[in-house]
Amino acid sequence: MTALIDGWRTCQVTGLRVDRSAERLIMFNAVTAVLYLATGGTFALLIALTRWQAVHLIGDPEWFYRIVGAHGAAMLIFWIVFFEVAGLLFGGTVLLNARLLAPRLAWVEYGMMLAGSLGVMITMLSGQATVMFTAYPPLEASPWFFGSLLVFAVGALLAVCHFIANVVGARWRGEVGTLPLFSFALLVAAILAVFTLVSGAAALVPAWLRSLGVIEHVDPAAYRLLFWGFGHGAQQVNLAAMIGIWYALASLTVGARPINEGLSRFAFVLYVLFIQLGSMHHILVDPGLGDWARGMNASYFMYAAVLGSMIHAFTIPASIEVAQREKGLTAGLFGWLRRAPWGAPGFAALVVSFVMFGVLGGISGVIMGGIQINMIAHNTLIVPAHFHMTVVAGTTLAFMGISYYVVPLIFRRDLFLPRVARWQPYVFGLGMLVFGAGMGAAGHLGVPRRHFDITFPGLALAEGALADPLIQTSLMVMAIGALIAITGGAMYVVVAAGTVFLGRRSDVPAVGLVDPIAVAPPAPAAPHDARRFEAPGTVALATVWLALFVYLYAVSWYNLSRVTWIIR
Amino acid sequence: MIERSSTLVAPPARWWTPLGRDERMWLTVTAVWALAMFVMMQLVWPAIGEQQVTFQSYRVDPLEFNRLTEAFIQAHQVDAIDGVPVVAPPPGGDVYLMGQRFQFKPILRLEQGQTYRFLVSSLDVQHGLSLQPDNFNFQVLPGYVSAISLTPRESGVYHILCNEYCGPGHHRMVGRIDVGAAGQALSSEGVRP
Amino acid sequence: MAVASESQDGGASPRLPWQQALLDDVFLLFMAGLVVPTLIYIVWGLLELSNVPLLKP
Ligand SMILES: [Cu+2]
Repeated sequence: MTALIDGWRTCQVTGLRVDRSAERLIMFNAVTAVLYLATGGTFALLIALTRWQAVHLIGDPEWFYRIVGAHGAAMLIFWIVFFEVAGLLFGGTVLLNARLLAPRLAWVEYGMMLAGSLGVMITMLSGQATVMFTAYPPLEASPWFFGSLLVFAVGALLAVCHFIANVVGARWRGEVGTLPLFSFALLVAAILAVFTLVSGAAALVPAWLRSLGVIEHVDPAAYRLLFWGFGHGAQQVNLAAMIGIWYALASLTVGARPINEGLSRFAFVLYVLFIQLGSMHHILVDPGLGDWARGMNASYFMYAAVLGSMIHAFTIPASIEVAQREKGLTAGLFGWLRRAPWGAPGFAALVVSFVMFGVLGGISGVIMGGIQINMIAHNTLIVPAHFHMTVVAGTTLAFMGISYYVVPLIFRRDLFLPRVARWQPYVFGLGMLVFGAGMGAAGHLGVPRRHFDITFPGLALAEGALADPLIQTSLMVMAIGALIAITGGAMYVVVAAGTVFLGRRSDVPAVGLVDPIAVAPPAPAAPHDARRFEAPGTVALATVWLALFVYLYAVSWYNLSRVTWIIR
Repeated sequence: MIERSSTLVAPPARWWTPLGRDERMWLTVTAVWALAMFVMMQLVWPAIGEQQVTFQSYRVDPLEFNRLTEAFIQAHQVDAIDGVPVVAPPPGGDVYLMGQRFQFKPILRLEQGQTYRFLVSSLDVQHGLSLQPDNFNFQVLPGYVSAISLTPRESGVYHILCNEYCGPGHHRMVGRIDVGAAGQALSSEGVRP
Repeated sequence: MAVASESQDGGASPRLPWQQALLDDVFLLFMAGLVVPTLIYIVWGLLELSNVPLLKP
């Protein structure tokens, strides 16, 4: 029996108090997010089967470009942002035992985001805005497209500010002191989102006015600078949210507690200060910017934000290792890892997301974000290969992993088809690995992104271009990987939607593994010999990872030096 | 006694504690690596590398750039392929290369080992200059000129693919650069010895 | 789970390390997150763009 008092209920699994008005908003945002994921995934299937040249499914380039644009908008913006707003509502109310500040306003935010996102999808798919989601001026698009995108952005900005106000309000009233680390990560994501959305508005408002005919000219270089403050910034929001979720999943599944609370928070603060400078990565080979403006930004201020990421890359597995060792799993260097709960979807999603992001997405991003190496990566398939490793294999899978907890608890239904959920992260991860390998190889061989047909049929001038037979093999590998990953994505949609609509109703819904430590108050750490490493297995793994980073970094400089032209 | 807390609950009252041995070691190593990458990019490669992004940038009216490109073509045209002019500029000179929907103009004949100052811009929308098979890439913006000094060290046929979406014919936007062997006449009167 | 919030912000408890107070300042964090990228990325970038000279053939 659920305790229901005055618009609150108490969760029977976690003991958290849930504001019912926040709960309904979480439901709507989460369901909308999953619908966009399913839509974007369908588009992904069509695109992959077209770029696999042997299949070349979509015959009409106009439709191909429409769908590439709509895929980007549905996935990079709508799936992610609706899910993040659901997360912010959860982290800003439920986790803090706090009330939603202004439920009516929150519905207005949701309405704006929904209407704006639908406007964007309709204009893109109906051919009124075949400009990709980047819409670089002076490409022409309908004012309804820019207007819709702005309505969405303002709705999202209000939602983010609402979250920040919730947190600040709860602190002022003395209801919370220091935030839990997970909520702190969400706060960091929200702060990053404010800069992101303001920069986006600064880019999109002039573009919108131009589409209306109010102004004549938008400077293409300034637009790119401001747009990427939004386009890339949005992915940094994902980064902070994803890392928060990694910490949360580590606590939920094995009872992990960060080995040094202050260090983890410091790493997040490095994000707040410097991660947004990475937006420069998109405009490194553009005219107009000097070497130091590019270099200081491209390096996130001398790689300070990368240092933040490398801290998380260490402290998350270390905290898992320490938690496992405290449970008595002390055999050898990696006994704690062998005996980890590999069958729990939350843990599987955490590990697959963490490894794919850290090894493939993170390292590739830092390397190709170098101002010179970017010359051999810019606008080739290497770029989408990189960000599919971060946003899809990393962020999306982390979001899937946490929703195996949040969806049953919020909807109070048993997780639907738990055996499918158990395999889902592995299928999805394997698909993304194959996909990324194929796409990255094709990009390395010079294949451009957002391109309808790299065989250039009937174009004499292009004879001999992109003729390396490895290219066709790489694109086939990419498409096969996409098919596997889309299968994994569909498995997620079935589990999530099945839980919402078909799961057995229960006040104590069956969710994955919940370690009692996850919801227990702070407690002393187990004593350990200060002359030895506390997490020796993690030290070993992290050292191997860093060695790989150094190796790939060196290989990339070597590749740049192999360009036969001298460029100055 | 150090207290630790789950990431889902508020931390202990005093959560700023000294770093343990593990974190000290990792923080030191990664900070050194971060600094090393920065020094490599901003100081070492600019001193030793042959592929730099230090090109000059200028503003230009797209129509003015079109006029300059046409004058350049007129002065040095030697041929045409599919209606696209083929131009053999004097070795070591300026080269105008203009992107427009959906072609790169002109096709160029260069000489191996010579350095050319490429002035690259667009007449209409944004394009991408992707030189294959070497695979180096620059963004091309209308209203801006990238002045890039390029020296082909090996002879052969190179393609320029547009790799920035620029409209429905984007995937048919291809240019070409033919590089002849050093010292050899390029079968044209446009090339001076 | 109950969030123990009483006396976490100093008050009766012994002085907290300044690093903790700094990292816990939500407002400072918010302002830094807006000001730093605005100055280093947007302002610096736009300044450089506005200083691009006109092409003189
Ligand atoms: Cu083009």
